[in-house]
Amino acid sequence: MQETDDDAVFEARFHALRDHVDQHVEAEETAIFPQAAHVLATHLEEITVLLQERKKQILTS
Amino acid sequence: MHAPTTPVTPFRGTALARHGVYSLDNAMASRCVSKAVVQTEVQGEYQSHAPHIHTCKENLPWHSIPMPTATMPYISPDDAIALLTADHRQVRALFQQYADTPDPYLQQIIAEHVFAELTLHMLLKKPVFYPAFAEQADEEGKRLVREARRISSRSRNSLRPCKRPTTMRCLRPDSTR
Repeated sequence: MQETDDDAVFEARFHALRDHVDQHVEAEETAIFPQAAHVLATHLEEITVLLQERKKQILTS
Repeated sequence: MHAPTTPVTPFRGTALARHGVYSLDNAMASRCVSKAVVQTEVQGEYQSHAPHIHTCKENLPWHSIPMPTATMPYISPDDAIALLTADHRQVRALFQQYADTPDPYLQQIIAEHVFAELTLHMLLKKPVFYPAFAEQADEEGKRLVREARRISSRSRNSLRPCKRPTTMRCLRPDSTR
């Protein structure tokens, strides 16, 4: 019984997480990214390199 | 190319492991890897940046998602915004696969992928992308960043007190810095 309750709690929380992620994706892709592409234009290459290096570092360090 | 059939513990000793991601036991990982086929799919205009995590179209089944290993080839889009957008696509595809899977055991594996993706995404965006954008953006842009940070905090909070401690650890606020 306890396990069933816990599963239900997890399901609810996971569902909430999905909602938050959807909300976040929507906000970023409609508002932040278009503006970022504009204002970061000259820095985008530099930021991309930073992101790629950091990602590689996280996955392999 | 077929995935290795030997049991692996992805990310053992890596930074992601230290963030609590992929503490799956060998049996679990082995079951996943034995079914996984490593594919390099073209997603939209760019190639998947994380084939070692998974490459998936929206409708691929869970078992086409390979478990990540540090030795798999590293491919990244050459544009920061494309890279972050690719993260979004992949995590949304995983959520859909979780919803489509009736087996709780497989759901657990998919959930681990979701937490790994989100953790990695936050580790990239918070210290690099947001500060760079906030520096250049106008007031409205700065407000959008504050809002985005607030939503991602709520995302972590929504899973913190959960019965599956190995999947929870990666989403604690102190582990994402």
